[in-house]
Amino acid sequence: MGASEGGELLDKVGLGMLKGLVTKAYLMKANDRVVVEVPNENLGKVIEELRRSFGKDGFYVSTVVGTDLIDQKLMRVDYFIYIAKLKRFLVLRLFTDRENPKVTSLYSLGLESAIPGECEAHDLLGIKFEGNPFLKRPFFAPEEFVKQGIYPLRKDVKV
Amino acid sequence: MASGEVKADKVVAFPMVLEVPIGPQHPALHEPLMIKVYLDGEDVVGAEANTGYNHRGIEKLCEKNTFYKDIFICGRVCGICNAVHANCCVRAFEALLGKEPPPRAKYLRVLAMELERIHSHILINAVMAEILGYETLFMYMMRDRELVMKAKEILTGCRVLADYMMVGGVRRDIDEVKRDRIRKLLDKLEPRVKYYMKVFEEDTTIRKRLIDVGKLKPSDVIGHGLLGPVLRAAGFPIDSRDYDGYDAYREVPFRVVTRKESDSMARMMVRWEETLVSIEMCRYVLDHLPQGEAVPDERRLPRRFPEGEAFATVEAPRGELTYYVLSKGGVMPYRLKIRTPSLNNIINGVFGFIGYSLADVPVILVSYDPCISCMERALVIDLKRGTRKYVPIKYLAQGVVK
Repeated sequence: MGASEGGELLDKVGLGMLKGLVTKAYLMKANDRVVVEVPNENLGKVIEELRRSFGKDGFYVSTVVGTDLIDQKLMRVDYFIYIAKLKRFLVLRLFTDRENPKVTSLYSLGLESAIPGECEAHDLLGIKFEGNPFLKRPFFAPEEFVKQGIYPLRKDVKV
Repeated sequence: MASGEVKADKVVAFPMVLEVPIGPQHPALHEPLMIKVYLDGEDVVGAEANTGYNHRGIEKLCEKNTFYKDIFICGRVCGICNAVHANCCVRAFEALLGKEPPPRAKYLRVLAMELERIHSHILINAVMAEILGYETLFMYMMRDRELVMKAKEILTGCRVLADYMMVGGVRRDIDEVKRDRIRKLLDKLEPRVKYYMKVFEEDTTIRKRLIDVGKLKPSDVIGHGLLGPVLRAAGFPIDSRDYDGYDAYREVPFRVVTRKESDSMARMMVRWEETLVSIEMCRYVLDHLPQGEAVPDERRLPRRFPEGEAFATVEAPRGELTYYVLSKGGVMPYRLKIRTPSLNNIINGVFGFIGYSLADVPVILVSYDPCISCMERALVIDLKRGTRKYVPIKYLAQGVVK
Protein backbone atom coordinates (compact mmCIF):
# COMPACT_ATOMS: atom_id res chain seq x y z
CA MET A 1 0.00 0.00 0.00
CA GLY A 2 3.08 2.22 0.36
CA ALA A 3 2.76 5.58 2.05
CA SER A 4 -0.75 6.03 3.34
CA GLU A 5 -2.48 9.37 3.79
CA GLY A 6 -1.64 10.74 7.23
CA GLY A 7 1.58 8.73 7.61
CA GLU A 8 3.34 11.66 9.29
CA LEU A 9 0.61 11.83 11.89
CA LEU A 10 1.08 8.15 12.71
CA ASP A 11 4.84 8.66 13.09
CA LYS A 12 4.26 11.63 15.36
CA VAL A 13 1.99 9.78 17.80
CA GLY A 14 4.13 6.63 17.90
CA LEU A 15 1.94 4.46 15.65
CA GLY A 16 4.28 4.45 12.65
CA MET A 17 4.13 0.65 12.45
CA LEU A 18 0.58 0.88 11.05
CA LYS A 19 1.61 3.01 8.07
CA GLY A 20 1.52 0.36 5.39
CA LEU A 21 -1.66 -1.25 6.69
CA VAL A 22 -4.11 1.62 6.76
CA THR A 23 -5.53 3.76 3.98
CA LYS A 24 -6.01 7.01 5.85
CA ALA A 25 -5.17 8.53 9.22
CA TYR A 26 -6.62 11.67 10.78
CA LEU A 27 -7.61 13.13 14.13
CA MET A 28 -10.98 13.14 15.84
CA LYS A 29 -11.99 15.90 18.19
CA ALA A 30 -11.63 16.08 21.92
CA ASN A 31 -8.09 15.13 22.90
CA ASP A 32 -6.87 14.17 19.43
CA ARG A 33 -8.01 10.59 18.94
CA VAL A 34 -6.17 9.02 16.02
CA VAL A 35 -8.57 7.55 13.47
CA VAL A 36 -7.22 5.06 10.94
CA GLU A 37 -9.30 3.62 8.12
CA VAL A 38 -8.48 -0.05 7.81
CA PRO A 39 -9.45 -2.40 4.98
CA ASN A 40 -11.15 -5.46 6.47
CA GLU A 41 -8.44 -7.80 5.19
CA ASN A 42 -5.74 -5.85 7.07
CA LEU A 43 -7.49 -5.91 10.44
CA GLY A 44 -5.64 -9.02 11.61
CA LYS A 45 -2.26 -7.53 10.70
CA VAL A 46 -3.07 -4.27 12.49
CA ILE A 47 -3.91 -6.15 15.70
CA GLU A 48 -0.75 -8.22 15.30
CA GLU A 49 1.35 -5.07 14.96
CA LEU A 50 -0.30 -3.51 18.02
CA ARG A 51 0.34 -6.66 20.00
CA ARG A 52 3.97 -6.74 18.92
CA SER A 53 4.51 -3.09 19.83
CA PHE A 54 2.49 -2.73 23.02
CA GLY A 55 2.26 -6.27 24.38
CA LYS A 56 -0.72 -8.54 24.83
CA ASP A 57 -1.93 -6.66 27.91
CA GLY A 58 -1.09 -3.22 26.58
CA PHE A 59 -4.44 -2.33 25.03
CA TYR A 60 -8.14 -3.14 25.10
CA VAL A 61 -11.22 -2.46 23.01
CA SER A 62 -13.02 0.29 24.85
CA THR A 63 -15.98 1.00 22.60
CA VAL A 64 -17.52 -0.42 19.45
CA VAL A 65 -19.64 2.06 17.51
CA GLY A 66 -21.71 1.00 14.54
CA THR A 67 -23.13 3.75 12.34
CA ASP A 68 -25.66 3.41 9.56
CA LEU A 69 -24.53 5.70 6.72
CA ILE A 70 -27.71 5.29 4.71
CA ASP A 71 -26.85 7.97 2.11
CA GLN A 72 -23.59 6.29 1.15
CA LYS A 73 -25.20 2.82 1.39
CA LEU A 74 -22.51 1.89 3.87
CA MET A 75 -22.33 0.61 7.41
CA ARG A 76 -19.40 1.84 9.47
CA VAL A 77 -17.78 0.13 12.42
CA ASP A 78 -15.43 2.07 14.70
CA TYR A 79 -13.33 0.19 17.22
CA PHE A 80 -12.03 2.54 19.91
CA ILE A 81 -8.89 0.93 21.29
CA TYR A 82 -7.20 2.34 24.38
CA ILE A 83 -3.42 1.94 24.33
CA ALA A 84 -2.10 2.20 27.87
CA LYS A 85 1.52 3.00 26.97
CA LEU A 86 0.60 5.91 24.71
CA LYS A 87 -2.28 7.01 26.99
CA ARG A 88 -4.30 7.53 23.84
CA PHE A 89 -7.23 6.14 21.87
CA LEU A 90 -6.74 4.62 18.44
CA VAL A 91 -9.86 4.31 16.33
CA LEU A 92 -9.95 1.51 13.76
CA ARG A 93 -12.56 2.51 11.19
CA LEU A 94 -14.01 -0.11 8.87
CA PHE A 95 -16.60 0.30 6.13
CA THR A 96 -18.86 -2.42 4.89
CA ASP A 97 -21.76 -2.78 2.52
CA ARG A 98 -25.08 -1.76 4.07
CA GLU A 99 -27.12 -4.57 2.52
CA ASN A 100 -24.96 -7.32 3.90
CA PRO A 101 -22.80 -5.76 6.60
CA LYS A 102 -20.03 -7.98 7.84
CA VAL A 103 -16.58 -7.39 9.26
CA THR A 104 -14.01 -9.59 10.94
CA SER A 105 -14.65 -9.84 14.67
CA LEU A 106 -11.92 -8.58 16.94
CA TYR A 107 -12.87 -11.40 19.30
CA SER A 108 -11.78 -13.85 16.62
CA LEU A 109 -8.42 -12.04 16.59
CA GLY A 110 -8.01 -12.66 20.31
CA LEU A 111 -9.53 -9.53 21.82
CA GLU A 112 -12.22 -10.63 24.27
CA SER A 113 -12.90 -7.03 25.24
CA ALA A 114 -14.77 -6.62 21.93
CA ILE A 115 -17.54 -9.11 22.91
CA PRO A 116 -20.14 -6.76 24.49
CA GLY A 117 -19.74 -4.03 21.87
CA GLU A 118 -19.96 -6.45 18.97
CA CYS A 119 -23.03 -8.16 20.45
CA GLU A 120 -24.74 -4.80 20.88
CA ALA A 121 -23.91 -3.61 17.36
CA HIS A 122 -25.12 -6.92 15.95
CA ASP A 123 -28.41 -6.73 17.80
CA LEU A 124 -29.21 -3.08 17.14
CA LEU A 125 -27.70 -2.58 13.67
CA GLY A 126 -27.47 -6.06 12.19
CA ILE A 127 -23.73 -6.04 11.58
CA LYS A 128 -22.26 -9.52 11.40
CA PHE A 129 -18.96 -9.93 13.15
CA GLU A 130 -17.43 -12.98 11.56
CA GLY A 131 -15.83 -15.27 14.09
CA ASN A 132 -17.76 -14.09 17.17
CA PRO A 133 -19.76 -17.07 18.48
CA PHE A 134 -21.59 -15.02 21.13
CA LEU A 135 -23.70 -12.95 18.75
CA LYS A 136 -27.38 -13.50 19.40
CA ARG A 137 -30.73 -11.82 19.16
CA PRO A 138 -32.45 -10.64 21.29
CA PHE A 139 -29.56 -9.16 23.19
CA PHE A 140 -31.03 -5.78 24.05
CA ALA A 141 -33.80 -5.41 21.47
CA PRO A 142 -37.34 -6.57 22.37
CA GLU A 143 -38.46 -9.94 21.04
CA GLU A 144 -41.10 -8.53 18.67
CA PHE A 145 -38.37 -6.57 16.86
CA VAL A 146 -36.38 -9.75 16.47
CA LYS A 147 -39.38 -11.63 15.08
CA GLN A 148 -39.99 -8.88 12.52
CA GLY A 149 -36.28 -8.61 11.68
CA ILE A 150 -36.06 -4.97 12.76
CA TYR A 151 -32.69 -3.47 13.63
CA PRO A 152 -33.77 -0.44 15.69
CA LEU A 153 -30.73 1.80 15.23
CA ARG A 154 -30.84 1.64 11.43
CA LYS A 155 -31.83 4.94 9.90
CA ASP A 156 -34.76 3.52 7.91
CA VAL A 157 -36.46 2.36 11.13
CA LYS A 158 -38.86 5.09 12.15
CA VAL A 159 -39.95 5.75 15.68
CA MET B 1 -25.01 -60.07 27.33
CA ALA B 2 -22.77 -62.95 28.21
CA SER B 3 -21.06 -62.58 31.54
CA GLY B 4 -17.55 -61.17 31.42
CA GLU B 5 -17.92 -59.81 27.90
CA VAL B 6 -17.24 -56.03 27.63
CA LYS B 7 -18.17 -54.44 24.36
CA ALA B 8 -17.89 -50.73 25.20
CA ASP B 9 -14.58 -49.05 24.48
CA LYS B 10 -15.45 -45.69 26.07
CA VAL B 11 -16.83 -44.71 29.42
CA VAL B 12 -19.04 -41.64 29.53
CA ALA B 13 -19.31 -39.98 32.93
CA PHE B 14 -22.48 -37.95 33.48
CA PRO B 15 -21.78 -35.02 35.79
CA MET B 16 -24.87 -33.53 37.37
CA VAL B 17 -24.96 -29.88 36.46
CA LEU B 18 -27.71 -27.81 37.96
CA GLU B 19 -28.88 -24.65 36.30
CA VAL B 20 -29.75 -21.90 38.79
CA PRO B 21 -31.25 -18.69 37.49
CA ILE B 22 -30.52 -15.61 39.59
CA GLY B 23 -32.90 -12.82 38.62
CA PRO B 24 -34.34 -10.93 36.81
CA GLN B 25 -35.89 -10.19 40.20
CA HIS B 26 -33.78 -11.35 43.10
CA PRO B 27 -32.89 -9.98 46.54
CA ALA B 28 -29.20 -9.86 45.61
CA LEU B 29 -29.88 -7.69 42.60
CA HIS B 30 -31.16 -4.16 42.72
CA GLU B 31 -32.04 -3.97 39.06
CA PRO B 32 -33.33 -6.51 36.54
CA LEU B 33 -30.70 -8.84 35.12
CA MET B 34 -30.64 -12.60 34.85
CA ILE B 35 -27.51 -14.46 35.66
CA LYS B 36 -27.70 -18.15 35.04
CA VAL B 37 -25.12 -20.13 36.90
CA TYR B 38 -24.40 -23.80 36.30
CA LEU B 39 -23.52 -25.71 39.40
CA ASP B 40 -21.69 -28.91 40.12
CA GLY B 41 -22.70 -29.35 43.76
CA GLU B 42 -22.03 -25.90 45.17
CA ASP B 43 -19.32 -24.96 42.67
CA VAL B 44 -20.02 -22.70 39.72
CA VAL B 45 -18.85 -24.32 36.51
CA GLY B 46 -20.45 -22.00 34.01
CA ALA B 47 -22.24 -18.68 33.93
CA GLU B 48 -24.29 -16.59 31.55
CA ALA B 49 -25.59 -13.05 31.73
CA ASN B 50 -28.95 -12.55 30.07
CA THR B 51 -29.89 -8.98 29.35
CA GLY B 52 -32.76 -7.13 27.74
CA TYR B 53 -35.05 -6.40 30.69
CA ASN B 54 -34.39 -2.70 30.87
CA HIS B 55 -33.49 -1.41 27.41
CA ARG B 56 -35.05 1.99 26.83
CA GLY B 57 -33.74 2.93 23.40
CA ILE B 58 -31.99 6.05 24.62
CA GLU B 59 -29.58 6.24 21.67
CA LYS B 60 -32.45 6.28 19.19
CA LEU B 61 -34.31 8.80 21.34
CA CYS B 62 -31.25 11.08 21.28
CA GLU B 63 -31.07 10.90 17.48
CA LYS B 64 -34.67 12.13 17.38
CA ASN B 65 -34.20 15.03 19.78
CA THR B 66 -32.13 18.21 19.65
CA PHE B 67 -28.62 18.41 21.06
CA TYR B 68 -29.78 20.48 24.00
CA LYS B 69 -32.60 18.10 24.93
CA ASP B 70 -30.16 15.20 24.65
CA ILE B 71 -28.17 16.55 27.59
CA PHE B 72 -31.24 15.98 29.80
CA ILE B 73 -31.96 12.58 28.26
CA CYS B 74 -28.36 11.45 28.82
CA GLY B 75 -28.51 12.63 32.42
CA ARG B 76 -31.26 10.06 32.87
CA VAL B 77 -29.32 7.05 31.59
CA CYS B 78 -28.36 6.36 35.17
CA GLY B 79 -29.66 7.90 38.36
CA ILE B 80 -26.55 7.45 40.44
CA CYS B 81 -24.03 8.80 37.95
CA ASN B 82 -26.16 11.37 36.14
CA ALA B 83 -23.65 14.23 36.42
CA VAL B 84 -20.88 12.25 34.70
CA HIS B 85 -23.23 11.20 31.88
CA ALA B 86 -24.33 14.77 31.32
CA ASN B 87 -20.74 15.97 31.57
CA CYS B 88 -19.46 13.51 28.99
CA CYS B 89 -22.31 14.38 26.64
CA VAL B 90 -21.78 18.12 27.09
CA ARG B 91 -18.03 17.84 26.50
CA ALA B 92 -18.60 15.93 23.27
CA PHE B 93 -20.97 18.70 22.15
CA GLU B 94 -18.47 21.37 23.18
CA ALA B 95 -15.82 19.63 21.10
CA LEU B 96 -18.17 19.80 18.10
CA LEU B 97 -18.81 23.49 18.70
CA GLY B 98 -15.19 24.29 19.57
CA LYS B 99 -16.32 25.82 22.85
CA GLU B 100 -14.35 25.90 26.06
CA PRO B 101 -16.03 26.49 29.44
CA PRO B 102 -14.55 29.11 31.78
CA PRO B 103 -12.11 27.89 34.51
CA ARG B 104 -14.62 28.38 37.34
CA ALA B 105 -17.16 26.16 35.56
CA LYS B 106 -14.51 23.48 35.03
CA TYR B 107 -13.73 23.44 38.75
CA LEU B 108 -17.42 23.29 39.67
CA ARG B 109 -17.94 20.38 37.27
CA VAL B 110 -15.11 18.50 38.99
CA LEU B 111 -16.73 19.20 42.35
CA ALA B 112 -20.11 17.84 41.21
CA MET B 113 -18.55 14.72 39.69
CA GLU B 114 -16.38 13.99 42.71
CA LEU B 115 -19.33 14.36 45.09
CA GLU B 116 -21.11 11.87 42.87
CA ARG B 117 -18.18 9.46 43.02
CA ILE B 118 -18.20 9.67 46.84
CA HIS B 119 -21.90 8.84 47.17
CA SER B 120 -21.74 6.12 44.52
CA HIS B 121 -18.79 4.39 46.18
CA ILE B 122 -20.45 4.61 49.61
CA LEU B 123 -23.64 3.17 48.11
CA ILE B 124 -22.00 0.10 46.59
CA ASN B 125 -19.99 -0.53 49.75
CA ALA B 126 -23.24 -0.32 51.72
CA VAL B 127 -24.88 -2.78 49.30
CA MET B 128 -21.92 -5.09 49.81
CA ALA B 129 -22.44 -4.87 53.58
CA GLU B 130 -26.09 -5.78 53.08
CA ILE B 131 -25.22 -8.73 50.83
CA LEU B 132 -22.86 -9.98 53.51
CA GLY B 133 -25.68 -9.84 56.07
CA TYR B 134 -24.72 -6.63 57.84
CA GLU B 135 -27.99 -4.76 57.53
CA THR B 136 -27.22 -2.37 60.36
CA LEU B 137 -23.92 -1.42 58.73
CA PHE B 138 -25.83 -0.82 55.51
CA MET B 139 -28.21 1.51 57.35
CA TYR B 140 -25.38 3.44 59.01
CA MET B 141 -23.56 3.88 55.72
CA MET B 142 -26.70 5.03 53.96
CA ARG B 143 -27.30 7.51 56.79
CA ASP B 144 -23.82 8.98 56.35
CA ARG B 145 -24.24 9.00 52.59
CA GLU B 146 -26.96 11.57 53.17
CA LEU B 147 -24.21 14.07 54.12
CA VAL B 148 -22.77 13.98 50.64
CA MET B 149 -26.24 13.96 49.08
CA LYS B 150 -26.89 17.17 51.00
CA ALA B 151 -23.60 18.60 49.71
CA LYS B 152 -24.66 17.76 46.18
CA GLU B 153 -28.01 19.41 46.78
CA ILE B 154 -26.31 22.58 47.99
CA LEU B 155 -24.12 22.65 44.88
CA THR B 156 -26.56 21.61 42.16
CA GLY B 157 -30.01 22.14 43.66
CA CYS B 158 -30.95 18.45 43.65
CA ARG B 159 -30.00 15.44 45.71
CA VAL B 160 -29.98 12.96 42.86
CA LEU B 161 -30.72 14.13 39.33
CA ALA B 162 -28.57 17.22 39.12
CA ASP B 163 -28.91 18.44 35.50
CA TYR B 164 -25.95 20.58 36.42
CA MET B 165 -23.97 20.57 33.17
CA MET B 166 -24.69 22.82 30.23
CA VAL B 167 -22.75 23.65 27.10
CA GLY B 168 -20.18 26.26 28.04
CA GLY B 169 -20.45 25.94 31.79
CA VAL B 170 -22.67 24.86 34.65
CA ARG B 171 -26.21 25.73 35.61
CA ARG B 172 -25.60 27.26 39.06
CA ASP B 173 -22.73 29.02 40.76
CA ILE B 174 -21.96 28.82 44.48
CA ASP B 175 -21.20 31.56 47.00
CA GLU B 176 -19.13 31.68 50.19
CA VAL B 177 -21.99 30.46 52.40
CA LYS B 178 -22.56 27.38 50.27
CA ARG B 179 -18.82 26.71 50.09
CA ASP B 180 -18.61 26.68 53.88
CA ARG B 181 -21.61 24.39 54.20
CA ILE B 182 -20.12 21.88 51.77
CA ARG B 183 -16.77 22.06 53.58
CA LYS B 184 -18.46 21.32 56.91
CA LEU B 185 -20.34 18.36 55.46
CA LEU B 186 -17.08 16.93 54.04
CA ASP B 187 -15.42 17.39 57.44
CA LYS B 188 -18.22 15.35 59.02
CA LEU B 189 -18.08 12.69 56.33
CA GLU B 190 -14.35 12.00 56.27
CA PRO B 191 -14.01 10.33 59.71
CA ARG B 192 -17.06 8.17 58.93
CA VAL B 193 -15.50 6.95 55.67
CA LYS B 194 -12.25 6.19 57.49
CA TYR B 195 -14.21 4.24 60.10
CA TYR B 196 -16.07 2.15 57.51
CA MET B 197 -12.84 1.51 55.67
CA LYS B 198 -11.38 0.21 58.92
CA VAL B 199 -14.44 -2.00 59.44
CA PHE B 200 -13.96 -3.51 55.98
CA GLU B 201 -10.25 -3.99 56.60
CA GLU B 202 -10.53 -5.53 60.05
CA ASP B 203 -13.85 -7.34 60.43
CA THR B 204 -13.27 -11.09 60.37
CA THR B 205 -16.47 -12.02 58.55
CA ILE B 206 -16.04 -9.37 55.86
CA ARG B 207 -12.44 -10.44 55.34
CA LYS B 208 -13.44 -14.09 55.05
CA ARG B 209 -16.17 -13.32 52.52
CA LEU B 210 -14.11 -10.95 50.37
CA ILE B 211 -10.45 -11.91 50.44
CA ASP B 212 -9.46 -14.26 47.60
CA VAL B 213 -13.06 -14.38 46.39
CA GLY B 214 -13.59 -13.47 42.76
CA LYS B 215 -9.87 -13.28 42.14
CA LEU B 216 -9.13 -12.38 38.54
CA LYS B 217 -5.85 -12.65 36.69
CA PRO B 218 -4.64 -9.14 35.73
CA SER B 219 -4.15 -10.21 32.11
CA ASP B 220 -7.78 -11.47 32.04
CA VAL B 221 -9.04 -8.19 33.50
CA ILE B 222 -7.46 -5.99 30.83
CA GLY B 223 -7.98 -8.62 28.13
CA HIS B 224 -11.72 -8.65 28.75
CA GLY B 225 -11.85 -4.87 28.91
CA LEU B 226 -13.09 -4.68 32.51
CA LEU B 227 -13.00 -1.09 33.68
CA GLY B 228 -12.79 1.27 36.61
CA PRO B 229 -12.11 -0.02 40.12
CA VAL B 230 -12.05 -3.61 38.80
CA LEU B 231 -9.19 -2.70 36.47
CA ARG B 232 -7.35 -0.63 39.05
CA ALA B 233 -7.71 -3.36 41.70
CA ALA B 234 -5.72 -5.57 39.29
CA GLY B 235 -2.81 -3.13 39.34
CA PHE B 236 -3.44 -1.11 36.15
CA PRO B 237 -3.29 2.65 36.80
CA ILE B 238 -5.81 3.42 34.04
CA ASP B 239 -8.13 6.29 34.86
CA SER B 240 -9.60 8.62 32.27
CA ARG B 241 -9.25 11.58 34.64
CA ASP B 242 -5.53 10.92 34.37
CA TYR B 243 -5.09 10.12 30.67
CA ASP B 244 -7.66 12.57 29.26
CA GLY B 245 -7.32 15.29 31.90
CA TYR B 246 -10.68 16.78 30.97
CA ASP B 247 -12.23 19.79 32.70
CA ALA B 248 -9.98 20.78 35.62
CA TYR B 249 -8.43 17.36 36.29
CA ARG B 250 -5.04 18.51 35.01
CA GLU B 251 -5.05 21.20 37.73
CA VAL B 252 -6.64 19.42 40.69
CA PRO B 253 -4.06 17.10 42.25
CA PHE B 254 -5.10 13.48 42.79
CA ARG B 255 -3.57 10.04 42.69
CA VAL B 256 -4.81 7.00 40.82
CA VAL B 257 -5.55 4.35 43.46
CA THR B 258 -4.42 0.85 42.55
CA ARG B 259 -4.15 -2.49 44.31
CA LYS B 260 -2.43 -5.69 43.36
CA GLU B 261 -4.64 -8.42 44.82
CA SER B 262 -7.43 -8.29 42.21
CA ASP B 263 -10.01 -9.94 44.49
CA SER B 264 -13.35 -8.66 45.78
CA MET B 265 -11.67 -7.07 48.81
CA ALA B 266 -9.20 -5.17 46.62
CA ARG B 267 -12.05 -3.80 44.52
CA MET B 268 -13.94 -2.56 47.58
CA MET B 269 -10.78 -1.06 49.10
CA VAL B 270 -9.97 0.76 45.85
CA ARG B 271 -13.42 2.33 46.16
CA TRP B 272 -12.88 3.34 49.79
CA GLU B 273 -9.51 4.89 49.01
CA GLU B 274 -10.93 6.69 46.01
CA THR B 275 -13.64 8.09 48.27
CA LEU B 276 -10.97 9.61 50.52
CA VAL B 277 -9.04 10.95 47.52
CA SER B 278 -12.27 12.48 46.18
CA ILE B 279 -12.95 14.21 49.51
CA GLU B 280 -9.49 15.79 49.29
CA MET B 281 -10.16 16.82 45.69
CA CYS B 282 -13.46 18.47 46.69
CA ARG B 283 -11.64 20.42 49.40
CA TYR B 284 -8.98 21.52 46.90
CA VAL B 285 -11.66 22.71 44.48
CA LEU B 286 -13.47 24.64 47.22
CA ASP B 287 -10.21 26.29 48.31
CA HIS B 288 -8.94 27.13 44.82
CA LEU B 289 -12.13 28.03 43.00
CA PRO B 290 -11.15 30.55 40.28
CA GLN B 291 -12.97 33.86 40.07
CA GLY B 292 -15.17 34.69 37.13
CA GLU B 293 -18.32 33.54 35.40
CA ALA B 294 -19.46 29.94 35.52
CA VAL B 295 -23.00 30.13 34.14
CA PRO B 296 -23.28 30.90 30.42
CA ASP B 297 -26.18 32.78 28.89
CA GLU B 298 -28.33 30.03 27.42
CA ARG B 299 -29.93 32.34 24.88
CA ARG B 300 -26.57 32.99 23.22
CA LEU B 301 -25.68 29.35 22.63
CA PRO B 302 -25.77 28.29 18.97
CA ARG B 303 -28.91 26.35 18.02
CA ARG B 304 -27.39 24.61 15.01
CA PHE B 305 -24.33 22.41 15.33
CA PRO B 306 -21.64 22.17 12.66
CA GLU B 307 -20.75 18.92 10.89
CA GLY B 308 -18.22 16.77 12.66
CA GLU B 309 -17.68 14.01 15.15
CA ALA B 310 -16.38 13.88 18.70
CA PHE B 311 -15.51 11.23 21.24
CA ALA B 312 -15.42 12.10 24.92
CA THR B 313 -14.60 9.96 27.92
CA VAL B 314 -15.23 10.47 31.59
CA GLU B 315 -14.25 8.44 34.63
CA ALA B 316 -17.64 7.50 36.04
CA PRO B 317 -17.71 5.88 39.51
CA ARG B 318 -17.90 2.49 37.73
CA GLY B 319 -15.15 3.18 35.22
CA GLU B 320 -14.49 4.74 31.86
CA LEU B 321 -17.69 6.02 30.24
CA THR B 322 -17.57 7.05 26.60
CA TYR B 323 -19.78 9.12 24.31
CA TYR B 324 -19.43 9.28 20.56
CA VAL B 325 -21.37 11.94 18.66
CA LEU B 326 -21.66 12.32 14.91
CA SER B 327 -23.26 15.48 13.58
CA LYS B 328 -24.19 16.09 9.96
CA GLY B 329 -25.00 19.70 10.71
CA GLY B 330 -28.31 20.90 12.11
CA VAL B 331 -30.11 20.68 15.40
CA MET B 332 -30.08 16.92 16.00
CA PRO B 333 -27.19 14.45 16.19
CA TYR B 334 -26.96 11.85 13.42
CA ARG B 335 -25.61 9.23 15.80
CA LEU B 336 -25.02 9.25 19.52
CA LYS B 337 -23.39 6.23 21.07
CA ILE B 338 -23.11 5.68 24.79
CA ARG B 339 -20.83 2.96 26.11
CA THR B 340 -21.15 2.58 29.83
CA PRO B 341 -18.57 0.79 31.97
CA SER B 342 -21.18 -1.67 33.24
CA LEU B 343 -21.64 -3.07 29.72
CA ASN B 344 -18.13 -4.46 29.84
CA ASN B 345 -18.09 -5.24 33.54
CA ILE B 346 -21.35 -7.23 33.64
CA ILE B 347 -21.27 -9.06 30.34
CA ASN B 348 -17.57 -9.73 30.15
CA GLY B 349 -17.11 -10.21 33.88
CA VAL B 350 -19.15 -13.39 34.33
CA PHE B 351 -16.07 -15.57 33.96
CA GLY B 352 -15.14 -14.34 37.44
CA PHE B 353 -17.86 -16.53 39.01
CA ILE B 354 -16.45 -19.79 37.69
CA GLY B 355 -14.67 -21.85 40.29
CA TYR B 356 -16.36 -20.20 43.29
CA SER B 357 -19.36 -21.38 45.27
CA LEU B 358 -22.96 -20.25 44.67
CA ALA B 359 -22.90 -18.17 47.87
CA ASP B 360 -20.01 -16.13 46.45
CA VAL B 361 -21.86 -15.15 43.27
CA PRO B 362 -23.70 -12.12 44.75
CA VAL B 363 -20.50 -10.96 46.46
CA ILE B 364 -18.50 -11.11 43.23
CA LEU B 365 -21.28 -9.43 41.28
CA VAL B 366 -21.56 -6.58 43.77
CA SER B 367 -17.77 -6.17 43.76
CA TYR B 368 -18.07 -5.26 40.05
CA ASP B 369 -20.55 -2.51 41.02
CA PRO B 370 -23.05 -3.46 38.33
CA CYS B 371 -25.43 -0.82 37.07
CA ILE B 372 -28.06 -2.47 34.93
CA SER B 373 -29.84 0.67 33.81
CA CYS B 374 -26.47 1.98 32.68
CA MET B 375 -25.69 -1.11 30.69
CA GLU B 376 -28.98 -1.62 28.91
CA ARG B 377 -29.55 0.60 26.88
CA ALA B 378 -27.37 -11.89 26.16
CA LEU B 379 -25.64 -13.93 25.33
CA VAL B 380 -23.91 -16.90 26.56
CA ILE B 381 -20.51 -16.34 27.93
CA ASP B 382 -19.11 -19.51 29.25
CA LEU B 383 -15.46 -18.99 28.71
CA LYS B 384 -14.76 -22.53 29.88
CA ARG B 385 -11.82 -21.66 31.98
CA GLY B 386 -9.81 -24.51 33.38
CA THR B 387 -9.46 -27.91 31.84
CA ARG B 388 -12.67 -29.67 32.86
CA LYS B 389 -15.55 -29.44 30.49
CA TYR B 390 -18.99 -30.14 31.86
CA VAL B 391 -21.88 -30.91 29.60
CA PRO B 392 -25.37 -30.22 30.92
CA ILE B 393 -27.65 -33.23 30.70
CA LYS B 394 -30.27 -31.31 28.75
CA TYR B 395 -27.84 -30.98 25.84
CA LEU B 396 -27.03 -34.66 26.03
CA ALA B 397 -30.76 -35.35 25.83
CA GLN B 398 -31.01 -33.15 22.76
CA GLY B 399 -28.16 -35.06 21.17
CA VAL B 400 -26.17 -31.95 20.34
CA VAL B 401 -22.95 -32.99 22.06
CA LYS B 402 -20.38 -34.44 19.73
